[in-house]
Amino acid sequence: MSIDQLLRTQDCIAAISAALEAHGTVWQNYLDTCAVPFNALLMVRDWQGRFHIGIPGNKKFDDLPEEQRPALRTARAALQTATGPLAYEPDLFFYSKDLFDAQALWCSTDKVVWDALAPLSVFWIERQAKEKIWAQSPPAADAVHPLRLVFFGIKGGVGRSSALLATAYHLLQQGKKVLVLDADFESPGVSATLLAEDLRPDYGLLDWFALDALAPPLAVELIQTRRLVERSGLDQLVTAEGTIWVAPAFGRQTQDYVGKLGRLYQDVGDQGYVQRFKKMLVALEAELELDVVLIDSRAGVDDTAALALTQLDAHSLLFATHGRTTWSAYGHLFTHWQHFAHLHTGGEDFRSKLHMVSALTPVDTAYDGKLRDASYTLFLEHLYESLDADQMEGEGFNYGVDDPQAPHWPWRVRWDEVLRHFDPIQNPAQLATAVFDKAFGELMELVDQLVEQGSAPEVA
Amino acid sequence: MNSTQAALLRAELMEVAQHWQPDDKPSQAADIFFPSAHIRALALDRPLVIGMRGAGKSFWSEVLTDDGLRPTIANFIKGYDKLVGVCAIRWDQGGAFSTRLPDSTVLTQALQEGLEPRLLWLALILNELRDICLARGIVVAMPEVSQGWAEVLRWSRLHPDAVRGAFEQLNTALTRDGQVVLVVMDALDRMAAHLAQSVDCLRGLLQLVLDARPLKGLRFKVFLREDMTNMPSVLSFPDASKLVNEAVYLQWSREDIYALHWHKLAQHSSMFQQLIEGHFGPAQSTQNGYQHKLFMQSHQNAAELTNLLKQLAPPYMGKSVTKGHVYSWWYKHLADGKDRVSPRTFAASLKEALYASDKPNAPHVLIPAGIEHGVRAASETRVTELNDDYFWVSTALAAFNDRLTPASVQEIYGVWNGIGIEGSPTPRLIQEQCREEHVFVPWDEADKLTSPSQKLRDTLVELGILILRDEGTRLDMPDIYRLGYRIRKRGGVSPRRR
Repeated sequence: MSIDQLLRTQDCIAAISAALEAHGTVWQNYLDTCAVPFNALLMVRDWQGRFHIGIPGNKKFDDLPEEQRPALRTARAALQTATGPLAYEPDLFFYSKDLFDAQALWCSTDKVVWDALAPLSVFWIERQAKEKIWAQSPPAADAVHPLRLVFFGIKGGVGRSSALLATAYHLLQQGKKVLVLDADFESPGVSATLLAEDLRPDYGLLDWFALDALAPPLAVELIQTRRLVERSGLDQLVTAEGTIWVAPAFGRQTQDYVGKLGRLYQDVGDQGYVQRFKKMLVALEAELELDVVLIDSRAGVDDTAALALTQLDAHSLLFATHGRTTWSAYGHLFTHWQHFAHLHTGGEDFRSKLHMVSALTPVDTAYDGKLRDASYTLFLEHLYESLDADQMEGEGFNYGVDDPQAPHWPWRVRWDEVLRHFDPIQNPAQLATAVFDKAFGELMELVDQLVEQGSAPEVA
Repeated sequence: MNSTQAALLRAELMEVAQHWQPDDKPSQAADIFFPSAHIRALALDRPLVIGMRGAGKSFWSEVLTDDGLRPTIANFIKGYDKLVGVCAIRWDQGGAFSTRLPDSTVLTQALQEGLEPRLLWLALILNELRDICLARGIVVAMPEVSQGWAEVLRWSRLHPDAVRGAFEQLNTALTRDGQVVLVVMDALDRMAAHLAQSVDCLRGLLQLVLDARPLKGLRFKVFLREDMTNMPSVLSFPDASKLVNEAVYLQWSREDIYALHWHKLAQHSSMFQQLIEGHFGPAQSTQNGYQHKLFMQSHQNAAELTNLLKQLAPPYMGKSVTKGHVYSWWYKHLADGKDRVSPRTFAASLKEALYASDKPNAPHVLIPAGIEHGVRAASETRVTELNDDYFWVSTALAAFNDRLTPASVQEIYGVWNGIGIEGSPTPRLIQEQCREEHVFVPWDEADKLTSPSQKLRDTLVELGILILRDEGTRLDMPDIYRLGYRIRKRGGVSPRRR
């Protein structure tokens, strides 16, 4: 056992995957003999990061004719070898027939299909809370809901909030009803620019989570009485019929913010943070009859962000400036997704809802090319599918480098000194068309496209 | 349009496209289509015209030298009404049995004996201009070709002043009468293929063209392949940059490409004409073929051309826009590394796309699966063409066998520098092959500062076969070549098994 073996978990996953593939037929034949729901293997990772592998039947494979058992034992041994020191001690394997309630485990709602191994049926169950969200399969496209846009930056300070404000204003001009969610709980802020201090609602999103844990019906009431939201002062700058609702992270009467933050990610009953966030979102959407929801997401490689990016059936704007730290951080995020190839099951492909945004773009065409190439490489190495010699781009999930429909295509937000402190309520001159269009024009093209797509749902 | 109407129109268009040949020569005025960027290429004061394979060099040289077709141009371009003669030196015509131009043995011999390349060209041109000279009372003492080219060239070498004098007199006479003679040169790569001194010849020609710039009576139109002017040694003479600066590149914009092909289809399909007129109004004229304003000044008609395609095909390649608009997708997938599509490539893909869309109950004239098939077929065509022009490309790309694109530049250099392929480093191998075949070594051999691998890389990038990415660290390949050369593409996720 070495430091490297224990820490290089992705190598281990790759090895397990290879071991399963190498004996794919043997496993398949065996699983074919097992009754539903036991016709699958379970990969369970515990809190310490050790693996447990669930196999239907019993250790000796008693249900199988004698002559078929050796091959299966070989296949099992290969898994043991592949898992190495990350295998749970004393026994990596557990068997459905040895468990008191195997049914519950094999039917666990936490399980995710490891579909890189399809048609072999292998489920993945992540017991580690922090990573759980990452590994969860994105939901099938929700029932009808407003267009959801998540603003995500792997690093802070790249003008993400300004772009969100600009988007809100742009949509307002088109007469849309918009909700801005300040879901950057660890560093709330976007609402301050949209709401003067005396307009701040009584409570914030964090209060909703606290209330939902204590008395769910009251959490519903909190939304229905509209004590979580207030209209932005930006409304006054436009005569169109639209509006911008703001739901800040905390309200005027919020107390014990830090304490509530500490309990934010706790499961409540059978609901994790994911389900609870969605419950809140759907309730707000229903109450306010919205066209678009803009979500300011926490920056960095973080599970709050992961939630928003993979679980909300939202379009995600990924902000980036060109630099090694940006790409290596995005690399970590994307590597994680890559190992869960289930990302392309269910509903519309999650990956096609990612959109790269070139933040703080200088006027320098060489920069544009470098950023685009780096973004392309990031997607190519992690989320795009490889192509055989006779497959053209677009067969499977992949794109050419200069395809503006591609997720890696960087939509530019121009850096402009005038927008250094973007606060259009205090300084409406920043909304002057010339300034605004120069900085945000290209990004607004994307927003318009998404709005248009959202209003004309795809017919299957 | 319902599927029956689509099937009828498709059948008519297939019938038209069926007669397209890869080397379609214009035979009537209706065949002439003017992309706006090409009007410049025909201007009489633009001697150098550069284009990739299939961009239209031989098409225009055909139009310029055909007495029946040339008058069409006169309506569009200034100065053509003054033309009293055209002399063509086209190395793609004649062949082994023609004495119109000297064969390679004679040429090589003459150059070895010290015939200056510039003088060689003058002699070749003067031979073509005998009648025009005679008509103006200018004596050409140069021996007739019937006495053998060797004799003609020997005489020219010994009497340079007589050759030059004849030209001077001709120019004076033409200028005085306000007349112009156009000298058209095309298919110079065919000449080069059999001539060791081809670089010298080419340089001589360009020098001659430069010298001739002030002449009012004699105009030049030299069609060159792009790689010929990419070689620094060809342009190593004073003021060569002036020539390059005013060269015209035969470019086809996306709109030009679509407009050209709709124009070509419309010539022979009344159903298609009806469709066009139903959406975009009546034709401009039907006198010289079917001329519709939609196809003129095509760069201004992007929206209309997109709209026309929407009458023939669905708007998107997939169910929604995520797979891309058909209009941009199609062009994009045919484009090389410099975002260029040759008309020939598009013609091949359109023809195949029509055939492949011919399915029972297909809802459109062109269906996405058919267009995809068309792109695949065009890729084969393009690669075949490329191999004809640059036989060494497949040698160079062998380095990508069993690799994925984009590939690391260093890795590819490693293969090129190794002795994996036929026992010597790839750039050297290509140099040797080029010398054996008497074709241009496609880079500057005199440049000692750049490594051979980098020169090979730069040449491939310049030809649009490879694309340099990630700040020069990786080499990518556009689909049009990747498919044809059967190279796999990198991706972080394996395609889902179905």
